[in-house]
Amino acid sequence: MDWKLYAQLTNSTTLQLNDTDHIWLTSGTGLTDAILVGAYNDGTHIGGSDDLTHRCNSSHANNNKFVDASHLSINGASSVAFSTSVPAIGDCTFKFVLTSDSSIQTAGAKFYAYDGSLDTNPWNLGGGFFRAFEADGTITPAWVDANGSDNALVLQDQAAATTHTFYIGVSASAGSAGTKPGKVKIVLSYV
Amino acid sequence: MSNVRWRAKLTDGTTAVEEEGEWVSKSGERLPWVRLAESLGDKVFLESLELDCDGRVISLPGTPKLGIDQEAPKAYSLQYFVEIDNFLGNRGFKSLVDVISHFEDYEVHLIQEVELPYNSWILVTKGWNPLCLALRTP
Repeated sequence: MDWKLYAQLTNSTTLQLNDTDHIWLTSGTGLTDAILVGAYNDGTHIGGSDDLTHRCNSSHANNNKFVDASHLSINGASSVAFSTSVPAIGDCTFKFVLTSDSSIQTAGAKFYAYDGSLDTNPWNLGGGFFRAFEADGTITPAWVDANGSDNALVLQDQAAATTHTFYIGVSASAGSAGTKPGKVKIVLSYV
Repeated sequence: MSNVRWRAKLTDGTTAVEEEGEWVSKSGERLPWVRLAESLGDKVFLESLELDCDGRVISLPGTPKLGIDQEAPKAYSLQYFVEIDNFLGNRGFKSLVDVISHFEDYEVHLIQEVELPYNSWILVTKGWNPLCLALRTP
């Protein structure tokens, strides 16, 4: 069993994330361009573990910005409604790939943020929100307030294969100023 | 390779052990548990199921012990979990196996980490939808 996480970049390439990389949801092209209270991300970036190295400096990660439950903005463009083809899977911020030597089917995969100690405790964003969606080219995505395991984004079950790929978009806002530490987790079952 | 393996005693007198003989993992094929469940048919069933966790054997419900009268499960199922914590930074990976004993209207889960520190959990659910069921009794 092996898995890899990729950021899908605006130039249609991908960047494989290292285990120690950090994801930055910011207001612009800079790694630390702060988001105003109440606003959602206008930039998504991959930073190294030193929180200084900007790994997607030449071509940034696709930015998926929450507009409302059924709309998003992709890389700063006007709001568009989700459909089976919007966003295209290549426009999602993240691509998660699970590979296995044996052929496995997956079920009940969940993706959610939490406070880093107890899965049911939401990530404390000071009244802000963590949103996520999955796109696979067949379903119409929708933003889910995926904060805390009880509110997880449920990913599509996948039939038996040796490679499984999930495309995920995320967006976040903060309800108050200051650092908002939290974690994001993915859990899936297979056989 | 994991040090956590299932061992199933079958009603035909044989014992199927994960990663032994016919039940080794094969590239491109379904996992040994799925192949075992599919091979049982309507004449052979599971008699008992154990999980060998690095030499420590955990017997699932249905295995006679100490002469205690017990309710035997109707079936067993098995699935694996992967949990990737802190998905967006300093990630940690955990792999677990969930062996489930299915009773008339509830299920008992033994969830076992497949690597050190080999923590385990017992959960009881109602109406769990199994991914791959193997009958203990017809």
